[in-house]
Amino acid sequence: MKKMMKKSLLLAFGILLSCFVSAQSFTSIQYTVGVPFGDLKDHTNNLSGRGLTFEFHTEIEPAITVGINLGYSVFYERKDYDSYSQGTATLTGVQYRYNNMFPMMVNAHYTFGTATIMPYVGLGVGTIFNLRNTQMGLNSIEETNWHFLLSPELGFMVDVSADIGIKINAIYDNAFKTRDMDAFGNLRLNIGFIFMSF
Amino acid sequence: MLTQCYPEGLVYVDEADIVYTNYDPEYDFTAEQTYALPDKIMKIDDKLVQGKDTTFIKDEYATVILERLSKNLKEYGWTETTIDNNPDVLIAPAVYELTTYSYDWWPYYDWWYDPYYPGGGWYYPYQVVSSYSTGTLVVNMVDPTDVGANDRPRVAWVLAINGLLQGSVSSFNARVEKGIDQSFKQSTYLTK
Repeated sequence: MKKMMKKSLLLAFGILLSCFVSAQSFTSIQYTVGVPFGDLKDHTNNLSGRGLTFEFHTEIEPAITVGINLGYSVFYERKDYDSYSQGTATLTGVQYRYNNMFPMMVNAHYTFGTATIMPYVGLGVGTIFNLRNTQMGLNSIEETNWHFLLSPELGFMVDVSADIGIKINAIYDNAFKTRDMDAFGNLRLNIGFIFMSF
Repeated sequence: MLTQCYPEGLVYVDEADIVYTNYDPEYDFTAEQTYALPDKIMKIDDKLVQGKDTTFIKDEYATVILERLSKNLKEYGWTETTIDNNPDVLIAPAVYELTTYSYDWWPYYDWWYDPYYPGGGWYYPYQVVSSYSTGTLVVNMVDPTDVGANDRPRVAWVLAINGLLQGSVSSFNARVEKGIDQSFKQSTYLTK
């Protein structure tokens, strides 16, 4: 699965590079709030206020752009002093839980209209790397997993000047089940700037 | 800056304390009535590994631990007796000052219950953690009459509280008492 995802990403990057030679391109950097779902919510049931999303797109048709999207979010939860049992064993203590999310994908946007406010829809495919830590006392369990990623997206851009805009969007990172970890969702709510170049 | 943005972790030393208990589900705790405690608590340290004489934690700490164990056992209906009166179970505490050491053999027989098993050691009829970190208090409840195939008595119940060597001395009492109380609270099968 990992090899297939890497090949897909490389192929997509190759296609993109060939488009970038003369097309209009868009670079955005955004602050990200993460909302956990599924297995992620079970482990860390808090919103993430620590996140960033970076995107680089190029126009291949008047209303269609394609590019790469990279993100980072850290989810965190402190579980109060509590008991956790398995079989006849019981462990009691305070737990600190972390999920470090690194979504990376190629995606495409379809933009509606050319007005000052331009809504768009998008879809991305790629992978998400999850570095999960569960700390109890002075002990820590670390788990790492690469998930296949499919991410629908909805948003809009507002022109501020000829080459700068504000971009607001929601991306639902749908991480598929792996051998060691269940599926989960990460809703990224983004706000930031978009820069146009020719 | 990045580390400042990262969510906080362990802040207070008492949050490092973990209470672990495990027991033999086949063991009939209700059939046993009496227990004996030593008057000292041995250290599992370098000297022990080197074969030197057993060393002990300070009496002021040992007293807090032993009294708290006794208090909880009595509240669960157990009766204290001495090692000479054939107690049903022995309560064997030790404090680890090493990260790893054999967990099924401490040389208790040198100074406390030699008459029972000159060979020393015991066995756990269930899976236990393979090592304890420095500062862990481990207490075994051993039935001296319930000897397994390897001539070692059974550990019917075990508790471990780690993190105790971190933090100030003044916080020790409250933390160890809380830990011991919690170990009994999560082991209600010990009740008479």
